[in-house]
Amino acid sequence: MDRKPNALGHWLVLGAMFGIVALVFQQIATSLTDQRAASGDALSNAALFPRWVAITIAGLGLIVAGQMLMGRYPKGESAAEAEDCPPEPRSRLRLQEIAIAGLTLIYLLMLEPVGFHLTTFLVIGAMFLVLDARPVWRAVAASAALTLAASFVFEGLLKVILPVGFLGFTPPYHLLGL
Amino acid sequence: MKPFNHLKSAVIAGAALAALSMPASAEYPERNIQNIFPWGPGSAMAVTQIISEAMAQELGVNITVVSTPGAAGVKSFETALDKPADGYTFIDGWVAPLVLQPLVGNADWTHEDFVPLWSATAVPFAIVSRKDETRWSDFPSLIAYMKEHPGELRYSSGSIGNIPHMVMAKVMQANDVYARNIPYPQDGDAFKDLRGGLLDFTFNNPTTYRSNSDAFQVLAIMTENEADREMFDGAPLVGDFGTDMGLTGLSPTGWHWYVVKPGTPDDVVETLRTAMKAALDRDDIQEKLKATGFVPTMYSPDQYDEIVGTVGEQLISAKEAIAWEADKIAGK
Amino acid sequence: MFDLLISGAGLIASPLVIILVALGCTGGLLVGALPGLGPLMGIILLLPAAFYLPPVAGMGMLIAIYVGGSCGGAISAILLRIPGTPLAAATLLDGYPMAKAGRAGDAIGVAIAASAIGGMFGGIILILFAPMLAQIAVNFGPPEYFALAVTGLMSIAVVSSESTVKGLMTGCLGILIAAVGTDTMSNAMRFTFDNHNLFGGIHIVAVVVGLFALSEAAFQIEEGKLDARPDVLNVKVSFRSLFLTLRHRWNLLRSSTIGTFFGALPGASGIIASFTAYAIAKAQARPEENYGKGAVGGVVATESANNACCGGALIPTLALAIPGDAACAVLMGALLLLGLQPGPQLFTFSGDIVGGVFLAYLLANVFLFVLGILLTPVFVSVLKLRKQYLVPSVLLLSMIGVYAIQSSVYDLWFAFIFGIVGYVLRKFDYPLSPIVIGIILGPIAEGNLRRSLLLSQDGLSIFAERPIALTILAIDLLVILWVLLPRRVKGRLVPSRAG
Repeated sequence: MDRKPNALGHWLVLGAMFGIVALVFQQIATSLTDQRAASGDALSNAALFPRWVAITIAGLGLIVAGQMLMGRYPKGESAAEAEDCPPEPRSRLRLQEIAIAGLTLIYLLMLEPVGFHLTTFLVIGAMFLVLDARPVWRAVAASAALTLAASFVFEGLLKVILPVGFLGFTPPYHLLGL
Repeated sequence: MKPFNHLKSAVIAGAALAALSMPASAEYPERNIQNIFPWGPGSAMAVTQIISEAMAQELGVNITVVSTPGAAGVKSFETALDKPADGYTFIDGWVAPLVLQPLVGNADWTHEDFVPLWSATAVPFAIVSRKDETRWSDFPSLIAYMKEHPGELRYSSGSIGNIPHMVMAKVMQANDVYARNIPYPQDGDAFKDLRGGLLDFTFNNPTTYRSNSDAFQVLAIMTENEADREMFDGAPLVGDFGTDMGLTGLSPTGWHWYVVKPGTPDDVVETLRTAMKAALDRDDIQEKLKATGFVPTMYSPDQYDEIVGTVGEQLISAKEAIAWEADKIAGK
Repeated sequence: MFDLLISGAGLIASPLVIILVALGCTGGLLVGALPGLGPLMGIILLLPAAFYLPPVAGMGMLIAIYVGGSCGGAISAILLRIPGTPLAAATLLDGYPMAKAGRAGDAIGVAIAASAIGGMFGGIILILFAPMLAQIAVNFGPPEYFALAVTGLMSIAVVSSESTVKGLMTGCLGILIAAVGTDTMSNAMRFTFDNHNLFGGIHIVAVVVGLFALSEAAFQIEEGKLDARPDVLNVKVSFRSLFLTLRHRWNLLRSSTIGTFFGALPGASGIIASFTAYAIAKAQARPEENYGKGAVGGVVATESANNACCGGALIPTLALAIPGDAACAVLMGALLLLGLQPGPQLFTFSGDIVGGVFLAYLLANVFLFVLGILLTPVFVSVLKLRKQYLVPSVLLLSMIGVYAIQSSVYDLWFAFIFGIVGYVLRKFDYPLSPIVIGIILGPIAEGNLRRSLLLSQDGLSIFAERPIALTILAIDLLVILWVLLPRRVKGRLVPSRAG
C-alpha cells in the first residue's frame, strides 16, 4: 500500500454516512408515517429525535467533505501501518483475514444446527490452521483443549445453555455436582 | 512423538465423545434447561429464578433463566420459539406477550398456541399518591379533583398500553375522568418522580409500596380480590367506592403462566408439570414468593384455556379505555 | 451509622462469608474480562447459588461479583484493546497504549488499584450519606436527566480530540443505533424493517463486541507476525501500581466523586461516569501527560469512576428500593428473596444485615485489590500467546459471550455486522468510543426530553422552572460557546500556561 491516503475509501465511508441519513428520512417518511409516529406531541412523535440526529450527521458530514476537498486527509491507521512493513507479503495476510471472516460466518451458520462443541472444535481448529499454526496436531489439540475449556467455564461453571445441535450433546456437568 | 500416537488418541477421544452423546433416548432431562424470561432484571426475575431453582431441584439438572427483554416481551417468545420443542426450553409466559400483545396486533400467536405448565404468580396493582399530598386525601377526592381539573394531572403506569395502564384507564373511564400517562423505561423511575413531585399519582405493586410505605399512600387497590388488601396494608379495593372496572379474576393483575412450545412430547410436558407443581407446593417457596410481593396462583394446566381465555376477552374492553383516554387528551 | 457497622461485623466475620466474597471477586474479574459477559450476567448466572445462603454471605458473594465484574473489563481492554464490558470502553483509550509501550503490568495494576480505591470511596459515601443522597436523586427528574445527558454527549468532543468532527458523527451514529427497536413512548417500531429480531433493539454488548473485538482481530492479522513468539517481559507481583495510582490523588478523588454521583442517579450508568471522568481528567491535564497515548491518569480516571459507581448505585437501591442500575435490580431481587425489604425501614429493622452488606462491599474492594494484583502476572501471560492462537481464541470467547447474554444467534449476527462497521470506521479514522457514548446517552436524552415535554403543562418552560436543569444546561451552553470561540479571543481572555 502506498503512503497516499485512500481518497476513494474516505469518500465511500462519508457517502455511507449520508446513506444512513437518507435511510433515516426514508423510514420517517414511510414506516413511521404509516404508524402515525412521525408527528404529533412528544408521546407519539418517534421521528423527532432521529430527525435532529440525522440532520446533525449530515451537517458534520459536510464539514468532513469540506476538509477533504481542501486536501486535508487525515493520516489513517492504514497509512500508519504501511510504515512498518510486516515480514509476510500483504496480499497473503489479506487472504488470511478474509478466510477468518469467512470462518466466523460459517461458525454463526453452523452453531445452532450442528451444536456448540463440534462447531467450535472444527471452526476454531480451521482458524488456527489458516493462521499457519503448525504442526497440524498442535492446532488440532489446541482447538480441542479450547473447546473443552470454554465448555467447562460457560456450561459447567456459569450454567449458560449453549446450542446442542443435532447430536443433542452436552457434557453432563450436573453429574459432577456443578 | 510419532504422529500415529496422536491419531490414536484422536480416535479414542472421538469414541469417548460419541459414547457420551449416545443416550439420546435416555430419560428427560439429561441436560440443563433454560427458562426464557421476557423482562429485564428485577423482582419478577427473582421470582422466576426461585421457582426455576426449586424445579431444578426436582429435576436434578440446572435451570438457567435467560432474560431477553424487548418489544413488551414479544422478543422472549420469539427467542423461545426459535428453539427446538424438546422441553429444554420453557417460557415464563407473562400476560403481556402471551395475551396482550397478540390482542394489539404485535404478535401472531394466541395463548392457545402454547402448552401450559402450571400458573405461577400474580401481582395486584394499586393507585398510590404521595403521603403528604394535600389536594386529595382518598380515592373519591382524587376523582373529584380530576373532574375539576380535566386532563391536568400526570400519572404513570410504567409504560403505555401495559396492563396497569389498561386498568387505570378503565377505572378513570368508569368515573368519567382522565389524566396523562407518562411512560418510563423502568417502573422505579416513575416511583422516583412521584416522590419528587413531578407525577401526581402512579400505579404501584406490593414490593415497591412496602419499601416506600413512609412516602406513599394507597388510594385504591385495583382488583376485586379481598386477599389483596393485606398486600397493601389493608387499603380499600376500588370496588369499595362503587367503581365497576369490568375486570375480574386475573384480568386486572400482572400474572404469568409457564408454557412450552407446541409439539413438546407429552411425557416431557408431564415431567415439567410434576416438577413445577412440587416446587410451588413447597412452603418455603410460597413464603419467598409472597415476601417478594407475588401471590402464587396455583391454577392447574386444565384451567389454562378457561382462565386465560376470559382474561383475553376482558382485556379487549380495557384496551378501548386507553383509546378513550387518548381521544380525551387530544381534545376529541 | 457506626452501630450498623459494628452489628454487621459479627455477621461478616465468618469463614464462609470471607471465602464467598473472595470467590465472588475472582469470578467477577473473570466474567468481566471475558468479552460479552459482564457483572450483570455474572450476578444473574450465580444468583441461584445465593438463594440458600445466609443473607450476608449470599449478598456478599453477589456484591463481590458486581465489584470484580465492574473492574474485570479493564483487563481485556488494556491487554487486547477489547473492552470486556462496555464499562471499560473508556479504559482502552489510555490502557491499551500503555500495554503497547510494554507497561501492561502497570496498566492493569493501576486499573485494579484505582477500581478498588474508587469502589471504597463509593462505599464510604454509601455508608455515610445513603439516605441524604437518595433524597437528592429523587429531585433529579426528566429535565435534569436530559441536561446531564447533553453534558455527557459533550464529552465525545474531548474523547475524540484528534478528529472531533468524525467523533461527533460516530456519536450520532450511536444514538441512531440505540433508536432501533420499539420506541418506548409511542410503541412504534423504529428502523426495524419488519424484522422481529430488531423489535427489542440491538443489544449494546453485541455492538461493543463487534466494534472492538471482531475489528481488532482483523487488525491483528493485518499487522502480520502471526507465528512470532511475542516478546513480553515477565511481570512480577508488585504493589508499585498503588503508588502510581496515588500520585493522581486529585484525579482519583474527582473521578470517584463523579462515579458515585452518576451511580446514585438511577438509570445513569458507569459507562457515562467513566467517560465523563475521563473527559474532565483529560481537559485538566497538562499537554505533556499525553492523554490518549498511554497516560496513567486516564486509566485512573475511568476505572475509579466506574467502580465508585457500584457504591453509588447501591444508594437508591437500598435507601429507596429503586435500583441504581440493572445489576442492582438483580441484587434487589436477591434481597427480597432473602426476606429483606429494601427501603428506609431496611436500615431500621435489619440494621445488622445492612451493616454486614456494607462491610462485605468494602471487603470485596479489598479483595479486588489484593487478588487483582496477585493475578496480574496471570492476566499478562495472555500476551505470550502467539497471534495465530490468540486471535481465534478471542473470537471464540467473544462469540460465546455475546450468545450467552440472550441465548440468541441473532445477537451474533449483529456483532458480526458491527465488526465490519468497526473495521471500516477505524480504517478511516472515525473514533469508535463515541458510538458507545451515543448508545448509552441517546435513549436517556431522547426519553427524558420527551418525558419532560409531556410532564410540562407548557412545553419547554419546564426547563426554566427547574433550577438544577437550567443551571446544567446553562453550563453546557457556556462550554459549547467557549469551544467555538476563536483561539485568538481565548488567548486574550486566559493567558496561556505555556507563556
